[in-house]
Amino acid sequence: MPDLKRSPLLPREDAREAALFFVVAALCFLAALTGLATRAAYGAAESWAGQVQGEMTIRLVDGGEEDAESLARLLSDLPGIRSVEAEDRDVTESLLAPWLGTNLPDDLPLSWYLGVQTMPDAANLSETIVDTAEGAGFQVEVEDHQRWANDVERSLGILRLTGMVALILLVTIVLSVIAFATHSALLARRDVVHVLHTCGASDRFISRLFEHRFFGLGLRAGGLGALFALLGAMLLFFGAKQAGERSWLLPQMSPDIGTFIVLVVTPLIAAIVAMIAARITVGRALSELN
Amino acid sequence: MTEPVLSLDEPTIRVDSVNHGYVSGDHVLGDINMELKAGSFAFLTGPSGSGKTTLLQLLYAAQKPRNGRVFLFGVETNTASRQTLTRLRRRIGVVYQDFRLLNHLTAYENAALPLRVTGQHEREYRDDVLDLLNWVGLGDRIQAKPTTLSGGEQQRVAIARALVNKPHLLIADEPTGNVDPEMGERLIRLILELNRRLSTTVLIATHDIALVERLQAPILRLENGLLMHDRRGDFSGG
Ligand SMILES: Nc1ncnc2c1ncn2[C@@H]1O[C@H](COP(=O)(O)OP(=O)(O)O)[C@@H](O)[C@H]1O
Ligand SMILES: [Mg+2]
Repeated sequence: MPDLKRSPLLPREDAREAALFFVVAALCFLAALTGLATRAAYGAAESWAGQVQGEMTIRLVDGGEEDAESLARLLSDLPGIRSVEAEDRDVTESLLAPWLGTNLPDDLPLSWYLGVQTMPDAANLSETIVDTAEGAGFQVEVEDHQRWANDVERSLGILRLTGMVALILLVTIVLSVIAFATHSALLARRDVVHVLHTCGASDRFISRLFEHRFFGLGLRAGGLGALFALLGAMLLFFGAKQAGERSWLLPQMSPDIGTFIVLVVTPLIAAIVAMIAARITVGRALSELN
Repeated sequence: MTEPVLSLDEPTIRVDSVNHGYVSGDHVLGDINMELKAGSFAFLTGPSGSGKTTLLQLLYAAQKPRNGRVFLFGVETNTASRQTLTRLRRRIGVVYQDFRLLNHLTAYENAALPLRVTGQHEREYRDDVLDLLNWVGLGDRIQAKPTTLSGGEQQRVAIARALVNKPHLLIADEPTGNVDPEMGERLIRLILELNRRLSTTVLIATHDIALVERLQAPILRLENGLLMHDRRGDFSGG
């Protein structure tokens, strides 16, 4: 008995499909990277905002270590303040290092800084602090991080919006590219559609052939694109972390559920979009046949 | 939904005052009336360009007539649903003038296509298809792709495909156009045998008058878009 292998009813179209595969993979790469980057940046900004909120820094304009410590004791009794700590000189020096270098002479007069942890919902604390300190004869400058936090919050909104718009745009492009490619594949395969139709194949049967083909293509291309996006994102963030010391400022890449969703959802969307495009195009072509 | 009944008591084909043409030109078919009884065998002749292929396309429901009505197994093709048309197609075997084989499939796969598209399993039909390919003399070419087959071999694959699901109606458009007269007559006799054994209704378009003359079968002749009845037989018309 001869070996009668079953060829697919739809012929493979290597050149056309390789090109479409590449385009879909590239678009999914961009979409997934956008998704991952938006997520990571969003996460970093959120944790940054969380850190910054409830923190203030006070600079003692004039005075030594003892002054700093007595001011700290004075302020920690104020309502709305959780704790006040005078930063030791090492911290101050490290803050100045970018400007003054690391080998500062010991007798260099440096300002003292006090780190303040505030209660949530404490209002107008900076004014109270300045009033209290000046009442006790200290001259201080208060750095209220709240303003920063508000900026971060605002940027977060813009970030989210940008990410969404980019994603929607990419999905739309994927949709039209795949629809276009399916259409041209169908035109090239009109003979097959026609023969199957006249051999008694139902519309559903013919449509499924194309849907399966393009679902598979979308899934494979989307998966590859998403995988490369993950690799790319990891390389980017890893590289940035190696280069910069203040890594807590950088977007975080953590293999959490969100990353997983981006990686799974991207190829799925590509596959479903491809399938729907195929169904619509084939349906339209079939309705022209009697 | 009530499906129309596909009746075998009805004439297999009935054509009622059909005229037809293409958007680009004049009428190809004038006022056509004809009937083909179940189990009958007839030739459709006429010079090239007389509208044979067009008429056949109306008969296997690839086109709808511009005017008039075509009934297949008692079902009017103009008003039938798509599902009904699909069911009708599964009872009709068609041999196209240009074969319409799929070049990426083997001779065996091409011949088995009408069974495959209805979801049948290969092991159910394999032996039947192989028998049929032997019958048309292609037993040793089953794995060949159409592009490696001669015109006559391709024609026989096309005939095997048209016969594979034991159709109630076989419509063949110049099925001997690409084979030598000897093979042509052999193929026609094979179809005649099928007509006698399975009572398949057969309509064969050909301009091979010599062939037609040798076989005692009714002849429908197309001339200037009108049907002439050369020899009275299993059909009637006007
Ligand atoms: N798809 C088509 N579009 C326009 N004209 C067509 C088409 N098919 C056939 N014709 C015209 O219809 C006439 C009959 O053609 P056809 O049915 O193929 O004749 P035959 O099969 O007898 O040679 C011819 O004049 C041909 O040019
Ligand atoms: Mg013709």
